[in-house]
Amino acid sequence: MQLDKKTTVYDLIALASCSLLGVSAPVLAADTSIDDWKVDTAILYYNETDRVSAVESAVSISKNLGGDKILSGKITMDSLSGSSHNGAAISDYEQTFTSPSGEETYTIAPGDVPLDPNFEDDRNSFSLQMSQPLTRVMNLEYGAAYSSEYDYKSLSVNASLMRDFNQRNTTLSAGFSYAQDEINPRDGLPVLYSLMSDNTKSGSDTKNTIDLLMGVTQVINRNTIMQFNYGFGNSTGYHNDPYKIVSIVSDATNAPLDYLFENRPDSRTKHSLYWQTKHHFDQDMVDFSLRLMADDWGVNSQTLDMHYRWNISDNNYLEPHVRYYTQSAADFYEEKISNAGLTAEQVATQYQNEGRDVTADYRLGNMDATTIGVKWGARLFGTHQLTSRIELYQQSGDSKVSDVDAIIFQVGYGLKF
Amino acid sequence: MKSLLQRITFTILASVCSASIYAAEIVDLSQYKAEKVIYIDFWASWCGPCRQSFPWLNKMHAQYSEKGLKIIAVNVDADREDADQFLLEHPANFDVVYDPEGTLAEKFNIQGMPSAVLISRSGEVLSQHIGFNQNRAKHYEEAIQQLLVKEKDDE
Amino acid sequence: MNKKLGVLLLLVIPLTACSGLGVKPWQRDILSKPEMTFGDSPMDAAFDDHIYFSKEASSGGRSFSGGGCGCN
Repeated sequence: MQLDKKTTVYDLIALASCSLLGVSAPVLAADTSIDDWKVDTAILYYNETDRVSAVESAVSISKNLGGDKILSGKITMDSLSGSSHNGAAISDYEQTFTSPSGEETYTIAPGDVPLDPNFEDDRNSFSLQMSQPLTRVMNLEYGAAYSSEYDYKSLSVNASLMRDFNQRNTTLSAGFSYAQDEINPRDGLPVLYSLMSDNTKSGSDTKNTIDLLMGVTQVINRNTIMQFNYGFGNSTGYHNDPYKIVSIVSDATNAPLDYLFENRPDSRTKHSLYWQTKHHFDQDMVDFSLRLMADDWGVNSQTLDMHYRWNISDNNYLEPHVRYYTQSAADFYEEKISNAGLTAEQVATQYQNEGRDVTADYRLGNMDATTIGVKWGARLFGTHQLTSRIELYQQSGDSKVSDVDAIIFQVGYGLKF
Repeated sequence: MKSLLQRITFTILASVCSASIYAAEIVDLSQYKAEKVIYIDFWASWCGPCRQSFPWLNKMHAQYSEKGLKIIAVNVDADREDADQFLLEHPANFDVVYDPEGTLAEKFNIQGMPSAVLISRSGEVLSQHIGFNQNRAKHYEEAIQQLLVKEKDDE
Repeated sequence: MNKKLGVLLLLVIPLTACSGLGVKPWQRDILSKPEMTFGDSPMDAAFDDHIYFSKEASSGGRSFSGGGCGCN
């Protein structure tokens, strides 16, 4: 029987289709199904063909302290090893490089990508985060994190405020984070504008980063919600990768003369715009996002990320994923430096006098990257969650040094109790 | 000019779910006039805090129904099955009515979920509160007690 | 970049100024599903952020949780 809005309330007294449900037997036991604890754990395996591989594991625990106040802690442990591009350009000549410690050398065949085979690092990080409501419509979050690896330590704090409007259809958020990093390789940092053959290394340095993020989360309709964020970041201090070099190549013979340790500006300012949409169909869901980033190093990037969640059943889903990323090279990116008739030392001195920045790190060069993957998730016994995903990540750029193929495999388990 | 109670009665009828497979029964709130303090609770299967509010509502029903409290839980799920599933996991000893189109919720201008409306014996809406917090349960209970005592004295 | 920024802002601002968008508090059944909330798979996001931060020149941009049933 249909009731339309034109039906007057008096007519309705004749329509007796309302159902009143009462339970016959009173319930005696108290129902205390409150999920206080939440534990999540995952292990990830990352492997680049012929290059770096990593195993990362993480455990995250959160507890509802009552009144919607939630405390959470997370521990992450990473182990990396393998070969990594040292910054030098591919040459028709055989090349010999000194390892970062200066004690060993390794040789690269002509035409091969110069990879340093001695890359090894372990990273441990720990973070603590608190979330609490200030009023019924306002929430505060704050926390701190510490991360430590062989030659790099980082300590950071963060805080954010969120406020709901329009019956919680609109949420305004603002957050900031501040990080203090220390770069302290065992053998010291390469002296500015020094050459690989100089092997002069000493000291350590620091970098400070501040990030601000402002966002709007907006309910569009019953099955669509969007988020728009603007981000601003500024870092000052040591930005160099202490292990990366730039080839100084002879104009005449095309042979590498020596290698200059890279030098990046001592400040970086970034702006980003991010837009994400989640839309639910009858059974399935689609989630796509776009991120635009630009900085004062000349890097402009666009990221398009899409997930399609295929809800096979109430407790099972399959989620294919595709991500497209493209970036333009930093202003000071060079594949290699031409000597213009000078000796390597003269080139180094020239760069020093000009205070010129240069890097051959392919991660600051022109690059396109594609990720394609699929995730599977299952809910077991009501409160247990099992997830697994496999992804292929491919990078390419102006030369073979940017060609990276990686496989990502992750297994995760979560529990609420 | 109909009294508020009669208006509410008709509104509840108007908010009825479409399926006619359910037993026919008229909810007539005017039967409670001058007798019961009415606590209307708007809930849904997808509302987390409702899992905590139901045991508390059962407790209130057990303690105060004889003293004149009438609890009516209005479900706003679009799918009746979701509500049924919730009730299997969190049984209710109090009355449950269904408002899948949200007509009743609209009438009471519900601002958030869950929402509770406290109606006096004379049919006045005395207070509304949004949300359910275990820490505030005592406070909600006091509001009910005050109303029951006050109205008894008025008689 | 500035042109792109401008276009995106022009799209965003009118959308959020329109408070006609949204649903009633009792219509949040689909929005309350975990997959419809922002920040629903934090483990994945953290691993991804770390991988892409290490392998690319961009980082961050997305960080706020949000959505949900809007309860309490």
